[in-house]
Amino acid sequence: MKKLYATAKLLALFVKELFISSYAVILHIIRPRLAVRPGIFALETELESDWEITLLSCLICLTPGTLTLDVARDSRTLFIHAMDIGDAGLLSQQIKGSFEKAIMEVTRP
Amino acid sequence: MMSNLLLLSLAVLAAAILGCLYRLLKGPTVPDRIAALDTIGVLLLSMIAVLCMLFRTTAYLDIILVIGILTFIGTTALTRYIERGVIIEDGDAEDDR
Amino acid sequence: MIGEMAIGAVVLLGACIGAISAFGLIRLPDIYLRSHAATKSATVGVLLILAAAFLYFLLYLDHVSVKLLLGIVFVFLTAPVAGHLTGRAAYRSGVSLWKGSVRDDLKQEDSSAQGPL
Repeated sequence: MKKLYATAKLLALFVKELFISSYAVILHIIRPRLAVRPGIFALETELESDWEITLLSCLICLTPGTLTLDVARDSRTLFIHAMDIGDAGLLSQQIKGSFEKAIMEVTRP
Repeated sequence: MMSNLLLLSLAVLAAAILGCLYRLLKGPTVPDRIAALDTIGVLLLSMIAVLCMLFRTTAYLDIILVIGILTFIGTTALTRYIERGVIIEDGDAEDDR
Repeated sequence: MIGEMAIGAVVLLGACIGAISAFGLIRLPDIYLRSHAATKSATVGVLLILAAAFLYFLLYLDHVSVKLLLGIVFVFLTAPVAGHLTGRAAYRSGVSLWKGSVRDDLKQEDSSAQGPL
């Protein structure tokens, strides 16, 4: 029962992030002067199974201005292309804080 | 009145597909073209949903599913092709790069 | 009547978002940025249109369309995967980043651990 609640929360997070990110991307697109500073940064993840990492990378693809490019061989590092890499530390902090926790609540008992 | 709005949306979607077509024809690299094809498929799918509403029929709803699946499979096959040169690889000859 | 207008407005909004993402596909400078536009905005546009269609059939034709629901779920699941695949294929086939890019962590990883592709 608790798991069901966590799954519903994860789904709601998915939808919310999708809307926020599309709004951010649209703002970037219709700005008259292109003000993006793209780049690729690495993210160490604590998740282990393939299933969790798949979920996390899908979620990252839906966050504002980030897109998973590659997963390292040891499946512990994700390479993420960010649209505006103002502060990579802040970005990865945010991903770790909200998404990993939400996914862990679903997959771990 | 609603049909006017729907017709307008059809026109907007058609313009969007034309934009993607430009990227598909011009795109400097192959992945550009793949992304454009993917977007065209997705926009086509929504056009058919609008058409369903316009004609007040449920007959075309199957097409939405089929186009969605075909677009995704096409994208997957093309990306695998330009990545490794093969689409379906043998189980034995696994060269995980 | 007003409900139909609202559904039409949602459809128009979705179409406009799709058009903006197509515009982004034309305008942005390299494949990675374009892939952002194609993945996110186009998905939202399509989801809005499909959800509006579902509501329309539910409210005005008394038809609960499972196919539309399946379509929504399918688009929602496959759009990020497709974006990831294009990005990865672009990187592995050696498309270079835009000149304004500021950072590339993957480059060192590739050259040190896996060798040139």
